[in-house]
Amino acid sequence: MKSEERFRVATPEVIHQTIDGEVILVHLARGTYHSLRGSGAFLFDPLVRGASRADLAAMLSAGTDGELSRIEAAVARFVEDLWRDGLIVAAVDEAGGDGAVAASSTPSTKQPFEEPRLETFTDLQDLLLTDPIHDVEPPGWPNVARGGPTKP
Amino acid sequence: MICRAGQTSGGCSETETLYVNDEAIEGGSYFPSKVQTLLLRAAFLDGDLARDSFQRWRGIVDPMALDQTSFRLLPQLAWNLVRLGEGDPYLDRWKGTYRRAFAFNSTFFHAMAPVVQVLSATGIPALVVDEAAVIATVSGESGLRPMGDFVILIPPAEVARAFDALTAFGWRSTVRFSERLVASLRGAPFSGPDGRRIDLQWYLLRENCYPRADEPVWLVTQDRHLGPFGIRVPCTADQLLHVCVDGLQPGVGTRLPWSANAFALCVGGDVDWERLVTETARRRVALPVRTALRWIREHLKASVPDVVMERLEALPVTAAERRELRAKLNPWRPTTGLRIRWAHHMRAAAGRGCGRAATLAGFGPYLQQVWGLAHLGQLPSAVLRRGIERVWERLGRMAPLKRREAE
Repeated sequence: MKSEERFRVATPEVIHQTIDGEVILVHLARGTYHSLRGSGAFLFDPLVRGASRADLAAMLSAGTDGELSRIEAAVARFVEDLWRDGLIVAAVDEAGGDGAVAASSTPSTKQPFEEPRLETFTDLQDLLLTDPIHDVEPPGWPNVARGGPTKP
Repeated sequence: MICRAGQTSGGCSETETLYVNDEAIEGGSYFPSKVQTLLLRAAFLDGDLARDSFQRWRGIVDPMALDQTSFRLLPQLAWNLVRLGEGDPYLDRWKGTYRRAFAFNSTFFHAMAPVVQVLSATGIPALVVDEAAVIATVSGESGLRPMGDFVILIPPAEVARAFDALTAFGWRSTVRFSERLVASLRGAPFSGPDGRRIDLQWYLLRENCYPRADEPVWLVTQDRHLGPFGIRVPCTADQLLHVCVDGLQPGVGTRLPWSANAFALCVGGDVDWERLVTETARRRVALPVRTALRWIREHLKASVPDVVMERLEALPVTAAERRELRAKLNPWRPTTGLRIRWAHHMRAAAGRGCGRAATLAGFGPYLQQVWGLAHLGQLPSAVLRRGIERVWERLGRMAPLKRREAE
């Protein structure tokens, strides 16, 4: 995987939605559920609009106080995780990825660096059977409580 | 004071009304309770009206003990609270209901897409109607609306071929195809190999089950998407009419309230109001449509034009239509089921051009078909049994209230 390689969402098997800055994805063929944490949600849109890993690292570096080498490693791991879980595929011969996507999304003030993370839940069918109010930890579904009903 | 939905408590007058209304909603009543109306406002409206409604709702309910209808509104509530910048200790859980609805609906649509494709591949025109159509029409944000049913509308002339196609695809119906079935019922449920269910309908409304009743529906349709899947849905005006009329049926308590879908279609669906009025008049459903639109105008501030309301209010309504509406608003009377069936049968007979004698003579065979009776001789006992069941169910629902009042 080259640092200039560009990606797109693996549609139609993968669909995604954003709520309150959190990107959630469902892989329909594999039956898995995913959530992007840390700076993952921030990177996802430019990534699937054609920004390369180098673009993403530059964008995070400009917008956060993290060291570039640490950011590059974190972005590489994040993209690798997305690719390994089948959520993105290489965007071969497709338009986009001119870097302008990333540049326009960069925040104006430097934020503390948070590693982009991909959370994966592989047992979606079981998760869908759980009560999303009573049987979950305070962060809410799909974080299922193991010790019975909880309250905030 | 915290009062759970369904409980009475001294000094909390709203809950007594809520209790009665909630009981009625579980049985198929039309209007949301006062507390559910607060939730609808908090979930759909903007600014101070939404914030005030949310605070009042939170002061009344226990979020861990919501009724089914309110529970289904939580994804929309979470989305709106985030938009309004309103916080709450339960907000993360409510956002979780959005995530779950998105995941559930996505997998649900993924499973349903091949069914629609099978019908299309057989050359059978198919429209997705009801909740899935609203999702596809309004915003495509499937996380806002937990799906209940998946309903496919086909032309009545294609029912036999559709039964064959679905059966060959591994789906089974509890009813057998017959010409009388098509003449008597709006549709039939099918179960798939994985236990999922669809409703195959050949008429859009129970109130208009006769040939050519839905011809205008097929003339104006829209191409939409459910996630990555392309579907066809009726035009927004027809969907709004469908939501208003179909909400007024017994047994809709576990679905998203009709008011939520009607409001969403009014706000985001680009309604052809002229068509709505014309179709309402042609289908003779002025009473439920104007009652529904009046309610969402008054309680949810929906932007239904004045001139539309005036035209709907001016449409003629027969005594039979008034009796039909009264029956639907009183689901616990022993004769309610029979009265609604009679109203639907009369409408269908009129649509087929039957005279009075033929209408009367046809009611027995009609009931036999819709109740799945082997022969007409079973009819008297079936009528009696259904009346007793309704009274029994009503008494069962009243008992907890009387116990609490005694305490």
